[in-house]
Amino acid sequence: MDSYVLYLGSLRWLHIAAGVTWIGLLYYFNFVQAWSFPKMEAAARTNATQILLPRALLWFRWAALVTFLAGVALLLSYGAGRPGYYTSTSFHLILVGGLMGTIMLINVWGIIWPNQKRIIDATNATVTSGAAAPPDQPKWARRAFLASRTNTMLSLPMLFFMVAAPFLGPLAR
Amino acid sequence: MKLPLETISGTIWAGVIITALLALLTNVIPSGYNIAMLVVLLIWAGMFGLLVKPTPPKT
Repeated sequence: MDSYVLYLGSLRWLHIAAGVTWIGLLYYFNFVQAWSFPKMEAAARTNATQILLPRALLWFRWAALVTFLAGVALLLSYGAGRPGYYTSTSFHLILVGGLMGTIMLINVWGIIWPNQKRIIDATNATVTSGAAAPPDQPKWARRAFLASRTNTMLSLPMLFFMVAAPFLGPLAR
Repeated sequence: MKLPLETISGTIWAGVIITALLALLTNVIPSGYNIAMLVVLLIWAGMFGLLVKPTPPKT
């Protein structure tokens, strides 16, 4: 097998495997956790915030970064081997999806994770030292929620432009 | 007024509508992908507008 083809295939595999992890956890947060947490007893919610949430956020944010880096490497490597690719419709469609993916990554690392980390730290402080919940905690939760919902909304067109659009006849003209 | 993003169904509908709009833009208008990217950036800017004053919804 051509090593270039193997390289491209490996990058595509990594991009999709990390992307499934990222978006899978994003959907878990939005479709499962956001619905369940308000219905849980306070002690159970605290326990989940201390144990489950940090682990889920660890995989979430690093999968987002790996998805992005593998995607950029794939796009550059794929285009380098195909003259005219960067002026093609296929590339432009991927670029629209890539812009959404990039925005989603910035939301993860710039808004969702910092605010969730504050919430986790505050919960730990409450449990260990009995400190009162900070007055800004609802604001942190709201910011993380809005950015996470924006990412969920953008994930649908992002997946369309990344996965479906290049294979649709008229769109790929 | 409740935002579409407050509910799961509203979020999914918003995503589907944006998908259709962007697909139309890139398919119908020459170089429509430029406009599509501008629309995406405007949506992102709108999110920051919400973050500036993140008022929780009245229950």
